[in-house]
Amino acid sequence: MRLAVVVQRYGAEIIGGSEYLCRLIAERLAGRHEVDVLTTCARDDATWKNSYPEGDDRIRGVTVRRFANDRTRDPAAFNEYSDWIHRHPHSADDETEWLKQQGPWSPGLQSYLEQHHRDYDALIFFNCLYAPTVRGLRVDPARSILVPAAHDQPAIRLDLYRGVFSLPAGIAYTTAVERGFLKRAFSIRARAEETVGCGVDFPPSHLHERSHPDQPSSPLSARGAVFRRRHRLYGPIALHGGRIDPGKGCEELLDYFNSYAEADGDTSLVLMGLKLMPIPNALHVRFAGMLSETERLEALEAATVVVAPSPFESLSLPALESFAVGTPVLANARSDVIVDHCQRSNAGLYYAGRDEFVACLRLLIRDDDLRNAMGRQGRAYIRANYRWDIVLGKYDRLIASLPTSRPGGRHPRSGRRRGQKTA
Amino acid sequence: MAEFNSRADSVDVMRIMERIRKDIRKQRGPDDIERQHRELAEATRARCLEPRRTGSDRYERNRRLTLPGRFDRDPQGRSLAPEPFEFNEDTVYVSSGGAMGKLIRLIRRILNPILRLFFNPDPIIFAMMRQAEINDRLLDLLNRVNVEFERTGRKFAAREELDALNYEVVNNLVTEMTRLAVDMKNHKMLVESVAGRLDFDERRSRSLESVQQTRSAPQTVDAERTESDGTPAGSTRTRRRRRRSRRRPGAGAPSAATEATGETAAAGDAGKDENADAQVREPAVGAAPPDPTPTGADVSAAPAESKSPPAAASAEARDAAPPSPPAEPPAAAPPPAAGDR
Repeated sequence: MRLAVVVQRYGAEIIGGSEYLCRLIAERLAGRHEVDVLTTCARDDATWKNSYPEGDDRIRGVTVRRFANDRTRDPAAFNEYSDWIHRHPHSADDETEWLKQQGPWSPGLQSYLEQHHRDYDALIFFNCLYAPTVRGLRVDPARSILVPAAHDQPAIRLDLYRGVFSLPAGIAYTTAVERGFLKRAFSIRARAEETVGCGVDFPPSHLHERSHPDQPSSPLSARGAVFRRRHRLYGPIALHGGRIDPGKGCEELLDYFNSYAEADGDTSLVLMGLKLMPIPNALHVRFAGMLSETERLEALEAATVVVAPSPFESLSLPALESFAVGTPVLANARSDVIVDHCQRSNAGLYYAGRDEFVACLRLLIRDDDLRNAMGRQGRAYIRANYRWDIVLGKYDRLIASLPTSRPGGRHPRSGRRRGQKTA
Repeated sequence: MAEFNSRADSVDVMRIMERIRKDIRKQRGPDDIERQHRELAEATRARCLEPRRTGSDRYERNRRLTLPGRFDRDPQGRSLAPEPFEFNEDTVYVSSGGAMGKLIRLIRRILNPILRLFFNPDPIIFAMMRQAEINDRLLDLLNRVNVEFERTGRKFAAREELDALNYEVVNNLVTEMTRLAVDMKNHKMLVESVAGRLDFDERRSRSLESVQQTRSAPQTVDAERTESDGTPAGSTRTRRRRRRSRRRPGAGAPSAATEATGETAAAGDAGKDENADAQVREPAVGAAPPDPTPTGADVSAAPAESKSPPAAASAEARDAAPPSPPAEPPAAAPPPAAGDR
């Protein structure tokens, strides 16, 4: 089948957010279908400046068609306009102007969709907030699937989005929390809905159960031994992976961890990822920096606990990955999504304040049996819900539910029956 | 914190969280709200007193504020109010002074009935008189308001002086705190520097001690051997010397005489010791094994040897440091620059 994946920006160096989710899904779908990613030339979502060359590109086995943006975003003006539009009565034209100012605004992408939408069996739109999705969904809603990646925020309450969720024929929710929110807030008329999320790779060495604690493996082959050796970490580790940013709850994390470290001083807080704030020069705080994919998984394995301090998450892939390697998670209770993961998997705790953080972390660090049990349950949760074959199967079900109006369009299963006689 | 039953696959996160929250509530007790308020107040105060966040120009900005002046005076201090004008019923008939003025006043009085034929001047005179009274009262009120205003102004001025003083105090406090922070940083660096030097000294003393042990170890072994089984001390040295000579094949095997000279130089130039040394060294250079029976010379040589630095240690010391005088005791030998290694 031929699929068009529409997203606001796309690139191998774009980490996190719905773009990263889109890339992972597109790369996996490309193994089963012919996938074209339709996107803009922007790399920076603050300005939507055209950074990539316009035209066709190929990234990790996926064809990418880029279209130039007509305008860039002026962040100050946009913020001012956003403040105004959220606080004052306004018209539909004002909201369209807001959508334009938000960006990316690519008439080329829109006209391509209008001209070529019949060449594709399904159009999959990622992120409901941006113009390519809002305008693109109107082109062929009957063969459109929306991956909203939405959470409760002021912008989504604009009238502009009221119609967006009633248009597509299929919706692939990222989490059950998102599904509940959208069902409550909007009228959804999709024929097919699935809570899909994103697949998670299991590291090859940990497809089996973790070795029993009574039979300790050698220090050289122990879980995460390489990462520990490389970063000279010997005690328990609380690991945070992702952007190190006050907006991601890292200030609060550092503050709370200081309180914990005053009593239990042998635990280190390891921060892994892009540094966007100063990190205090303390003995128990270590900065590992940006790591490769392999090192990242090693770090997750080496960690005693993975901390997810962000109060706003739409999926939290690091938390799912840590479940996959059998490391329990300590999450911010303000993030409904991660709390839901923790409660469904029984593989993580969550904190709503300093005392809870200290108590939960102390419990997770000290109680090996609890940690091992949570690790097992986390892996089982990922195995049941977030294996790639399950995720892709859900996408195939959604695609199969769409009408095939494209000339020569095939049922997704027909690829496997090539050569067989049709009835 | 209560222990949780965490057997395999029986972990219930919600139950654990309930338990944790219950424990926290129990620990906090009823004074929790007060404690939270105190924490918040401390956090706010800490933010306010943070010297890096307090603008040092606040005092100057405050000083630039202008004090309010009196509103009924011009900038030169002259009163802006007009002089009061007295008015009575004769004022309308008054003219200039002198006889002519009196005559005019008399004529006006005489013609007054004729004037009254045209209009009645009494209400005008009455209104003007009342206006004069009103003006007097207003002026009096204005003066009293001015007095009050002046007194309040003085209070404000005093208050502003006090404020300025407070700001000055705060400014000084901030300056002092900043200075103390800088001082503390300097002291921290000083402590680090001293710690570094201490560390360096420790390492240096450790290496000196190790050199000392290396140098004194063969002597001790020799002395022990001589005392215990009567083996001549020189035999050990001979073996060591032989090994050293083999390590440097490029330089050629040293002759017995050269070695003897070197050894003599190293061991001191005592005639008896030199002879005894030469006797002991002879089998080492040639092939004959040393005589295990201790001779009188051997026995007498042992204590003499123990006074001089051992050959191996001397060789090492030669490699690492300038040669020491042969008669010097081992402790006086110049140490190698361990710290420089």
